Amino acid sequence: MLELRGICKAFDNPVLTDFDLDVGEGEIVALLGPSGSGKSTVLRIITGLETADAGSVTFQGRDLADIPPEGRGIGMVFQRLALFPHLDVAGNLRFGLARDGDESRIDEMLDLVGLDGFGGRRIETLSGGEAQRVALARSLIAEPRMLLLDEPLSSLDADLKESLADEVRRVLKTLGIPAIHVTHDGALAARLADRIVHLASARELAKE
Amino acid sequence: MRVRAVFVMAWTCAVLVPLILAWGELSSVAERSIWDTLSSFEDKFQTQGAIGFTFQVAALSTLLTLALGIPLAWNLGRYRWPGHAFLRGLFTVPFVMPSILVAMGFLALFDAWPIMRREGALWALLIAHAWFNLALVVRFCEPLLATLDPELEEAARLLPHGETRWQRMRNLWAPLMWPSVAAAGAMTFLFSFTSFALVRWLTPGQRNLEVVMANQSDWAGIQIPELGRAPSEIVMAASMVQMLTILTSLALISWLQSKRMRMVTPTIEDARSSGSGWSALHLMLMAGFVLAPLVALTFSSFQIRGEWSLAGWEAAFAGSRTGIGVSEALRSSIGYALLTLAIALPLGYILADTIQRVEQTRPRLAMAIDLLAMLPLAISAVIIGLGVLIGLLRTEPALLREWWIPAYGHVMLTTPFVVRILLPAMRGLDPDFENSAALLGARPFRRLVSIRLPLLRGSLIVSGCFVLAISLGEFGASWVVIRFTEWTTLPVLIDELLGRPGFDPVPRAAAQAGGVVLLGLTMVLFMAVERFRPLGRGGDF
Amino acid sequence: MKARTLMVSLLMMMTAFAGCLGSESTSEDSNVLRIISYDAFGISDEMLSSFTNETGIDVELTRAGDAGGVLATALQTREGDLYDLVLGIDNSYLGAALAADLFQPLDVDRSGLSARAIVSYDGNLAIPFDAGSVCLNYDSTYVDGENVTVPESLWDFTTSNWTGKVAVENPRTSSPGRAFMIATATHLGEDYDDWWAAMNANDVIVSDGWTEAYEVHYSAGYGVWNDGFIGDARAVVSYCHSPGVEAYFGDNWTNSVALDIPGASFGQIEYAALLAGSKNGEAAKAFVEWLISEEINAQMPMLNLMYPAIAGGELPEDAGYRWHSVVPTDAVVSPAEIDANIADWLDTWDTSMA
Repeated sequence: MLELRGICKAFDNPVLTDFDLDVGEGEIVALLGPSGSGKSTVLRIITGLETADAGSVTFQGRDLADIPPEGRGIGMVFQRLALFPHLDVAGNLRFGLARDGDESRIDEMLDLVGLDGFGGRRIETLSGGEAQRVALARSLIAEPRMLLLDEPLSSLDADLKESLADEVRRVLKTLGIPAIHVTHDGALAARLADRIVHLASARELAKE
Repeated sequence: MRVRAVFVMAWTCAVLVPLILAWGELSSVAERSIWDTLSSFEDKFQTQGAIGFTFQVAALSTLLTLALGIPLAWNLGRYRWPGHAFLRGLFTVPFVMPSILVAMGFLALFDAWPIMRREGALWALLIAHAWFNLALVVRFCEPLLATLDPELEEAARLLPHGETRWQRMRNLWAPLMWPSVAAAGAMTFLFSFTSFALVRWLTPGQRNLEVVMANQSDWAGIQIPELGRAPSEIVMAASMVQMLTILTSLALISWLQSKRMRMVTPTIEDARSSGSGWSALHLMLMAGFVLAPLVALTFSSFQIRGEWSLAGWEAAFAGSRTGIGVSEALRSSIGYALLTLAIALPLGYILADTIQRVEQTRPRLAMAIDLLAMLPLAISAVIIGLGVLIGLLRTEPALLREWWIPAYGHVMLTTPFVVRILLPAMRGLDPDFENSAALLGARPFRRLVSIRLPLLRGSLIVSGCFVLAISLGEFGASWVVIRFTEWTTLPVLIDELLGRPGFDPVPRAAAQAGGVVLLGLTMVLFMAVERFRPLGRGGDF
Repeated sequence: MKARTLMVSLLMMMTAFAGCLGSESTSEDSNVLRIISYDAFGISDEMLSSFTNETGIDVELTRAGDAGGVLATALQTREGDLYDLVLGIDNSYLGAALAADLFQPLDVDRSGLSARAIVSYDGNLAIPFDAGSVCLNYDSTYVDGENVTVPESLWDFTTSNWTGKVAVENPRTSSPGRAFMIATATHLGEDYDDWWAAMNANDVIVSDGWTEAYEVHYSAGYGVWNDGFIGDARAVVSYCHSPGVEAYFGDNWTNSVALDIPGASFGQIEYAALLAGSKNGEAAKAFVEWLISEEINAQMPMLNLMYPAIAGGELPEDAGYRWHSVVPTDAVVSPAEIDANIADWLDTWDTSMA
């Protein structure tokens, strides 16, 4: 589905050099690496929020080079979640709904992520795990053809991380959406993903 | 807590007592009711059209200010510019410029453009108001624009309702920014409503409520009916309309601020990106707009009867032309400014502190004190002056000639700004700093001096500079109260000089020279301030 | 800069300024004469210092707006014993001041005063120190003798030749405006309200102050040099000697001409008076004597831009000052008459002009 070939990106120092990545249909890939290894940059290049200095991004057979982020059909859950503070939970989800979309999908999606009845809650009243799941639901309701997750679980405590990781995997597999999960936590990577790509050396590690 | 209560009570008295005294004096001479007087406003020359004009000017000024100010705040806040703090200072400077100098500056600017004095006079006034109040929009909006977590916009881009720029404007930026914009708009409305010097000079044929009241101020309250009745009635009626309107605006501003407080917007330290050539051009044009009247005024001060001359500058600092020379009036102004600073800053601090402490447990009381702190902005200078006069006449008349009496007006008008600047800063302080100090054994006073004040250092400096700048340029309240003393301030002196027969062109040029000095002082003061304001702060005033 | 250093320097600056400003004296200090006058009063610091040197009396001069402001301030503060001498109340306000028993006698020698100065009031409660007549000035380049002739009556100004081209001052806020209004009331009698209504219908320009009317609107005045000049008025209410002043400061020529319509101008006389509560009569007397002395009073045309009050006092001949000035035939109306009618006149004016 997704092919990255020869991606190079440098800010002041080179961050990515000749990076390749493949993600197959319905596959969940983890990008593992320490801070500063360029993991988030990879995601931003895939979404189009950042442009690579060299290399190509091909998604479902199309070269994404001239396509802006809003037209790529790729969704992302951001590191700090980026939930809109002026809208409640339902409002945030509605943002992800197409113009003529079906409102009942909001409740469906909340149900799917286990937040039944949370529609009217204000963002600042949500716990870490709840906010996490709202962010996930919002991205999913837009029916992306692929989902990118930028260290979304990093700010949660240990047992919540694990249960949420299972949750996310369950939802993604239910909907059949391929995903890339960026993280520095090896155990988490193993839990969520089908396959782990180690960024520091671009070596593939077989999943246990 | 008792000390705080004393200060709040003292402030309440200082604000309300003159108001009550003035009102009493006016109503003892007035015969008709306020309603009757208002109904006959259109039938009498002195008041004809005043109410309509005032509201019209205020509303249109607000619209123009927002139209010019929002793009400016956007361009300034969203992009990284060299000399960012300087630019921010530059765009805030107009707000603290003495209004009489602004009037002179625009007259100098529009001199080459006669239509602005005839058919276009209203536009001239609106443009001048927008010039003045741009600072409000920038101050209210730029901090959030510069620090809003960019992930919000990026997330919106990847979702259906945020695909186009227009959609993001509508669905993300507008909802997040509208409380700030509305607060800036309400403040602009307030200041345009009570505008005095600009209306007098730029639209001379038309009077707003403030001008009407100033015209009647000589005789309002005089206990001789033939002389005092009509003026007193007019002042009572006009000030009632003004007070109600302003109080409504203040309540709105207060509500908007608390609304913003409740919404927790995720921010990062610096969310700016690099700007395009168009944005740079826009900023340069706006900077030119801000500087234009100031430059025009400076040029004008070097001209006499159309020729270049230093005579004005020489006369200004020689002191022979006028009763008091410009340099003496300048010294006087600085003296009043420092005195005002010494009073308004601690007073404002205590009021803000009280509001912040009380609002956890008794929000209504806090809102009441907040409104009380802002009240002087709603009361016309004429009323304040009259009230002070009456109060002192009845108690200790000799005090009227004390040099520090006019400082009262200055303190009344600057303390609200201190409160507006310090309050959000205090709200943003992490209580754990002081708590840990307490647990380490520090007493309240020590905590205040070693922890709290240093943490508030930036806001204290900013509010201090505001006090100085506003006091230096203060015209309205001084003008009424200062008549009783021999001492004059520079803005009042300038107005006096401008009001004298100008057959001899030198005094006018001297007035302009004095104005340029005042201008320079205020600018320096203000640019220095902006260096103390970190990116992302200060957005509540 | 460290916070402490900042605070200390601020404190030092404040005490320095506080010292500069100081406080003012009270009435016990009988060597200080406390005077209140209007803003434009032209006696300079140097002249006051020379007075102090001669007599040993210190002068504290407070400026309080215009003639109306002076009277209002004096009335408001009479209980408070804040001032001794009042300068600038004119004969249009004198009636009210006398009716309010505001003054006490000033025993100065009035024998040197001119007839013109004592025509309104001849007594010792108010001593005239300068005079001038308020009338219309017109732009002689506009009056070309063909389409527009020199107006001979006030009613000429209500015709289409003068639509939107006459500037007057608001009588409630301007002393010349008030003076002119009184003149029209006296001169026009019954037709007073009609004339003003006709002027209103003829788009007369009304300014709140003389400065605005003369500088901003009048086409033949020095205002043409100022920023923000409009110049839409070809006639303005000013003083009959204003053209003289124009010429004096304008290189011996002006296009402005004073219009003498007999009875339609107001002979304004400005007075010095001692406030009833003052204990400083001696010092006040010395000052007023100084003010109406030959040496000082003859300078009124240069200092105050008004005629001297002393007999034989004349405008200087230099630079056309005297040549361009007109001494008109003023309206005859006493301060008492003015005081009795002014409230009505003002009210009628307000209604006619609305």
